[in-house]
Amino acid sequence: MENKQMENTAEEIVVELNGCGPNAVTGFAAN
Amino acid sequence: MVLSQFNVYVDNYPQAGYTMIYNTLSKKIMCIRSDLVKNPSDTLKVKMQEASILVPSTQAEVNSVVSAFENNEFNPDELRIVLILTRKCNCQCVYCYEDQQNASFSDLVDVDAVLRFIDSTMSEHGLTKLRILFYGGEPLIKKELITQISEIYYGKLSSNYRFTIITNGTLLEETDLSLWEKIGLESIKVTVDGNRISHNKRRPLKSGSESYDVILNNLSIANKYVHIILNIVIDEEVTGVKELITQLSERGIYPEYALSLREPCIWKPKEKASLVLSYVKLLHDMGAYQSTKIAIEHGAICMGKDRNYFVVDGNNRVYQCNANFQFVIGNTERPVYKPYKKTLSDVCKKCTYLPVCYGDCLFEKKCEKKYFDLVTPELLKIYTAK
Repeated sequence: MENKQMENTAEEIVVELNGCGPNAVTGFAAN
Repeated sequence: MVLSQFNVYVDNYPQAGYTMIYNTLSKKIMCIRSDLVKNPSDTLKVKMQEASILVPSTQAEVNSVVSAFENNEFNPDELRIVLILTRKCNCQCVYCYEDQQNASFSDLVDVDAVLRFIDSTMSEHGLTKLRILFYGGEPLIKKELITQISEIYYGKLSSNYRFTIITNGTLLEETDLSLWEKIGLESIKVTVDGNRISHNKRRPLKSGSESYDVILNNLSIANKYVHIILNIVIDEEVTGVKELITQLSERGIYPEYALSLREPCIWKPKEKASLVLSYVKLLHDMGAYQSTKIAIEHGAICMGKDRNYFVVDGNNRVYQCNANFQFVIGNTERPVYKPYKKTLSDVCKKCTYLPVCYGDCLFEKKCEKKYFDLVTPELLKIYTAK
């Protein structure tokens, strides 16, 4: 419960882009 | 400090009360409490600045993107050549792009002219690196030219020379791969459209024979020597992609996957987003690594807009890009310049996706913002899912 509360009030939740190359979301891929 | 123009916001993600922010220029991502987006704490402010989510001024960031674009800063020192070795191909794909492009090429014969063009262009523009993308038709039909040209440039430039081959994968041979690996081969891009049944229906050999098993066997060999980019052409008809990925992994092949939309692109933004997302999710769920031009058909800085990027065909004609073979800009014997320049409109300069799209295609006036708005938040959700 305590953990949950901490998570909900944290300024930031750290997320990572995974399973994709640096350009996969909105970028260029060479031909 | 102000919020960047290039931020994409996803509200209530990854949980209620938080906003995911992705910056299309820095490609950085943060999830912060929604009430702090406009009023971040000092600690958060620093992190947001580091990710370019918070910037000194939007005008300055737009100016820097426009300036980088106009000055070719994204590729200052590398000559990039798409070299069309032949128009011939041993496959007969149902959607063959080359038929749509209405272009006619001969086999490359005058290699010396191409070499002179490369040498003089590098010298005139002060370029120190060279990347050749061997293209066709099926470029392996003229594989001796790949060896000849690469031996020359690897000898001259060493690791400043690299090359890629876009091939249907049916003619790959170990002797070539083991040699090419030593003279600059960086990657091969091979298209396999789903499982055996699906692929064989879409990409048969001209002889009528099936190509799937031949390609997978060849990829098992290629896997020892070179980075493989496994392209899948997606539409509503391709099937068995899951099976393909499984069969490749059973062979120990874990390629970089790329998705291409079947051309001509007939989908409306919503349909296109839905199609792309379904395959991105499938690949992601299977742990397949993706690096693909899913957000735009022509790539962010497409070759047409890169002043150091040319297409050369077997007739020694030089083109601005491979999107339009009607625009011949010269030949290998005459000085070539890139006559068509993209002027970024005011609408583009105010767009979130400017660093992705740079005004899209040189030759076709269109705007992909609707599609980007639909697809980007959902892509972010997929790629950040645990």
